[in-house]
Amino acid sequence: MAPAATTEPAFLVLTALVGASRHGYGIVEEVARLSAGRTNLKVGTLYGVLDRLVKDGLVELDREEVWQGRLRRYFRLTGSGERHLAVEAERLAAHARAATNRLAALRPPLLEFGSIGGGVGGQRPHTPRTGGVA
Amino acid sequence: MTNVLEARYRALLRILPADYRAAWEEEMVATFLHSMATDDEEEADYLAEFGRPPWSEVASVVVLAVRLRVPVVRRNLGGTGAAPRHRAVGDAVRIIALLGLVSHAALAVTGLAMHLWLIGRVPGMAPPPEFVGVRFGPWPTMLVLLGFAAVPAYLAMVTGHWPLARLLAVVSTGALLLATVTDVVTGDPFRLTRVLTLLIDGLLLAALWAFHGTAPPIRRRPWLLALPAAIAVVAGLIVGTNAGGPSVWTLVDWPALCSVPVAAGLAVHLLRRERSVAWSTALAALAATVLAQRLLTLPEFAGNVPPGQLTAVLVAGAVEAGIVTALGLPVALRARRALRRLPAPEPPAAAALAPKG
Repeated sequence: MAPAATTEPAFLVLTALVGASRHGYGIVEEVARLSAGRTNLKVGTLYGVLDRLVKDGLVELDREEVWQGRLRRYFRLTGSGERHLAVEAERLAAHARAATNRLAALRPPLLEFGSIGGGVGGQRPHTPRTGGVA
Repeated sequence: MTNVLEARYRALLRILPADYRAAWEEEMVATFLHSMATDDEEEADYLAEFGRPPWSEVASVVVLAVRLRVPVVRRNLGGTGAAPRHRAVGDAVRIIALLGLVSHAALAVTGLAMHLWLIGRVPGMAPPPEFVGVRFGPWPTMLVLLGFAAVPAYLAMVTGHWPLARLLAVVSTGALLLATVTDVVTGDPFRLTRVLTLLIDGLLLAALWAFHGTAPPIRRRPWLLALPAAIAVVAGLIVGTNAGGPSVWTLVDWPALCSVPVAAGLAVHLLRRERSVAWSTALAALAATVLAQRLLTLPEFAGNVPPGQLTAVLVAGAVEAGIVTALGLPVALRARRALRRLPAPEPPAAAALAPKG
């Protein structure tokens, strides 16, 4: 079955598993690192994403270990998962490039607008008087 | 050893489907407990003994449960191409939804007519003497008009404009909720009958979502004819109850009125030679609802009548419950047998979690 469009948490989970198998909490920590602390995956969110990725064949169980008396499962990317992540990464990069190019194209007129003193609402920017006519 | 925090988290996970829990519960518990771990021994002991999952974790599990269960509910309320058992259950829920909406539409028409009569706006029909000169204000009129949205909602439903119908039905049910809240705020005593009615209305509203993408179209002619028929039944019940005088209307409350059309429907269904599984299931569910409503509200109803009428009210309630049970039980048994005979659907596949390689 073709995987559905990748959400941001799914993208980050796939990225966290590149080159290393990780258990649930390991994925949570790695996603927090990857997103510079902006994405703090909750357990319900993580296992909703993992369940879908396993069903879509993008992630698989690597091994099981017992840690402090509890079963710990390590997950890894499948070949299909790696290809899917590469496609998604390229898609997002293309979007980012398009946004950057458009912003770059917009910048000169903005600067020009600012340089002739347009400002918001067409008002002249306030310039403190350094001298004056008495 | 299982501590309180773990027990509470496991209790929360029970809202997830059983097959999902079988695949993921232990893993989720381990990850959750790891995320709550702390180096501070005192805090760890406190968490183990009194800890609760944070709201953000609760919310993530609730969202997951909704996401996992919505497709299951939609599959169980099957439409075209669904497994026969799911299709029959789906059709039954759709019948209940239509019967509920047509009842609301009929009540809205009769309610508007009565309101216009009471405020003296029906030409040639003076309002009752006790209402002459009474000023109602705009609020009751607005509630009646909002409730009237059930009529276009029903017509939109039958003609296939399902999203619009649901929107209008939300407005109509919202008016009932608003009326109840207004009454409670202005000092009306809390009544179980009213809360149950709102709960049932809410369920009937939710049942409208059984008309999803694969649901079969509604047969227009019979369901369009059902509206004037329902208006006639509601008007007949109101006129009949009032014509009987105080000896009748003190014995009749809302659950009693509901049990009349349901009992009639059950009787007609039993007399039919060919009975569809969906109709049997729908009528059995309605009978169970009306019976529960009658039994739960009878003590409250009996507590509000003069002592001299207590026996009559209890006997009337027992008769209503008895008739609905006598007619509903054979229909329910038949529906159960017929549903079991239909081919069972394949159970959903759990995620494959065997280590590979």
